[in-house]
Amino acid sequence: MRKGPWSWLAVAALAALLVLSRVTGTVPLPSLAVGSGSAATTDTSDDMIAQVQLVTDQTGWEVTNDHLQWTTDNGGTWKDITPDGVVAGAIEGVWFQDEGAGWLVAADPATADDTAVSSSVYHTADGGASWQRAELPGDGPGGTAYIDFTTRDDGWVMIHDNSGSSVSLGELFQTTDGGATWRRLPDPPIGGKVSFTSASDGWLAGGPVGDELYRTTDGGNQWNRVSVELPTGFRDRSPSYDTPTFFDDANGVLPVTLASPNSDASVAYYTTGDGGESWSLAATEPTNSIVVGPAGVPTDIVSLKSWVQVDPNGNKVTAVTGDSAQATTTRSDDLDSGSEDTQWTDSKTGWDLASDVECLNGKQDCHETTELLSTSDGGATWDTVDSAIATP
Amino acid sequence: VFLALVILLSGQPHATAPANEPGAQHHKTKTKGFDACALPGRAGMQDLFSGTPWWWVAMYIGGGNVGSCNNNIDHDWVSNIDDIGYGMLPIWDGKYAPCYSGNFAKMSWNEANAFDEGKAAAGDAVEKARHLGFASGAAIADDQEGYGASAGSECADAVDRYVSGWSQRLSSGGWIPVVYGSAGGSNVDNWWNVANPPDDVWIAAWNDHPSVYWVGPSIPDWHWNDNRYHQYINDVTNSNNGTSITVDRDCARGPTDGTNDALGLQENPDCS
Repeated sequence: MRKGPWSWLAVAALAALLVLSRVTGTVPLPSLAVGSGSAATTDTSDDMIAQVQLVTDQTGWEVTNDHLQWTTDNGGTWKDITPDGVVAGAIEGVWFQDEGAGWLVAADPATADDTAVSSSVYHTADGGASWQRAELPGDGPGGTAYIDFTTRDDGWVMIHDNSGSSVSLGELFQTTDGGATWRRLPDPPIGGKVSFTSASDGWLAGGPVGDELYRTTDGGNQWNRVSVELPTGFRDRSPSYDTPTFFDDANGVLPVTLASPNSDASVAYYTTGDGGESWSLAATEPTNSIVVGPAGVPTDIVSLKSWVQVDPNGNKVTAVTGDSAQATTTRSDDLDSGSEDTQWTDSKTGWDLASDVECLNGKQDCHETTELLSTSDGGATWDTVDSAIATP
Repeated sequence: VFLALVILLSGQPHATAPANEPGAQHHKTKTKGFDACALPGRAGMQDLFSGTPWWWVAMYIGGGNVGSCNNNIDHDWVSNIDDIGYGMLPIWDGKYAPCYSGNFAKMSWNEANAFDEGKAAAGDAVEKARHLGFASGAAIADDQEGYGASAGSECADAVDRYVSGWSQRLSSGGWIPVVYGSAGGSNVDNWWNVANPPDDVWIAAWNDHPSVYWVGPSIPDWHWNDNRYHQYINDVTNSNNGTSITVDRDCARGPTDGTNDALGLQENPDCS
């Protein structure tokens, strides 16, 4: 046993030092003298952009460290539209249906720790000028919120619980009055992204390694696991599912990252004409990146016939035309860091949320950034969107 | 003087097996790392190491709840990751609290049985760790997922006994017992007072602040003061040099297994 009498004495000494340092206001912890190779400075980061959505070609939002910011000029200027009462670090998810209607999920201030987090949904009908708050029933460990509405009234919120990385759990809530009231549905099989096509039909994707896809036909009360046949030559890959995007009751597109721990990932695109009863492989597009885990390759299903993927390695945007399954690859040195999410309104106009970390001295003095970039020429050129210009 | 001696000794590498065996050396590290359910092979792990602040990786190696996590990890993988320079912290995904939600392997409500299950889990973890190339003296973490701070004492008591069994068995073989848990949801601080407390705790408190201290009101900083890890961000993407993976980010002030002496020399102030 390590906690012998001498160890207890050491603990007591440390405690005394801690108490003393708090009284004196000094750094509270002992610091080991380190060799010449030690890092001496703190890593730094800019205001981190956690989420973005390009709602129209000029209108969108971003969540920075603590704020929801809104732009109507493609990031030229930003307006802080954070609802009153939402505290720092509490935003769990945001989604806008159009330029007016949107919903934001945030942990309630009184319980913003990991023990029992209750959350509220704030909804707006005027682009964030005003918000109404409704509590979600019960509590949980908190996490990332996914939001989807099929009409102004019918919507769902999934809170993907914080947990160890081998576990994926979540709580699912439903509203039928635009978010004024919510009821908790039976616990889904995993926590993850949800998308619904009607009041009854919906999809859920995720799992610890991202290889789980579920379908509901009763509004989210019950879920059945589904899968697709992986393309020839990729049967040994691990699929990482996104949820499908539907453009009517019958027709949709499902992107599936074909992940491997030792090979560059590809993305397989499947289409359905029967509401998701069956899926047909339409295209398989390579990347230059090793991708593992639930996040997958950033893709956006712009329309039934136009799909875009951005290589996580940067530099490469692939536009896939669904009609002929032809792909056009555009490379740009403007996009040189890790792509995490991509949002497009058509095949030319898009945003990309990228992250990067640079260390000045080997693995020391590191600086982490997230960057929002925009393109209007299909990814040939990208401009950095300055997210620092915000007015209250 | 005594305090300084204790601290200095705690930072030294401990060689307990031939140094050429992966996982045979152990360093107290004070650096950033990450853990993930799915990890790439050597090339991808090299991408995530070069020019980044990440010095160590925690990876699942087995257990009843491990599912499909890290099924590509074998002796060669450990050896390769050691060559790159990473420190490693193996995770055993053993049984969860009897009151834990969902369809998982769970421990007994009976305290004596839970204690035995913790010991058995430690035995299984050691066997797997040895197979992967780790040696006595290495740290192994048990994953004890949050079951709710408001769960009844009967559930918490079973978890505490399981943790005690885990720690007793590992310590008796010269291994370093670590237990992962949610700061409040796993009642981590309970483990300070069990019969056989873990040497180190790995505290999940997703507050975006790397420091291993001030992780919540339920765990005083003087408990495991110099023997703790902090998982501070959940489910984010590390994308570096052409490799992109979903991770949790961590800071350490605790042991990792690896032959890179720099692990014991580096100190990232963010972690303090």
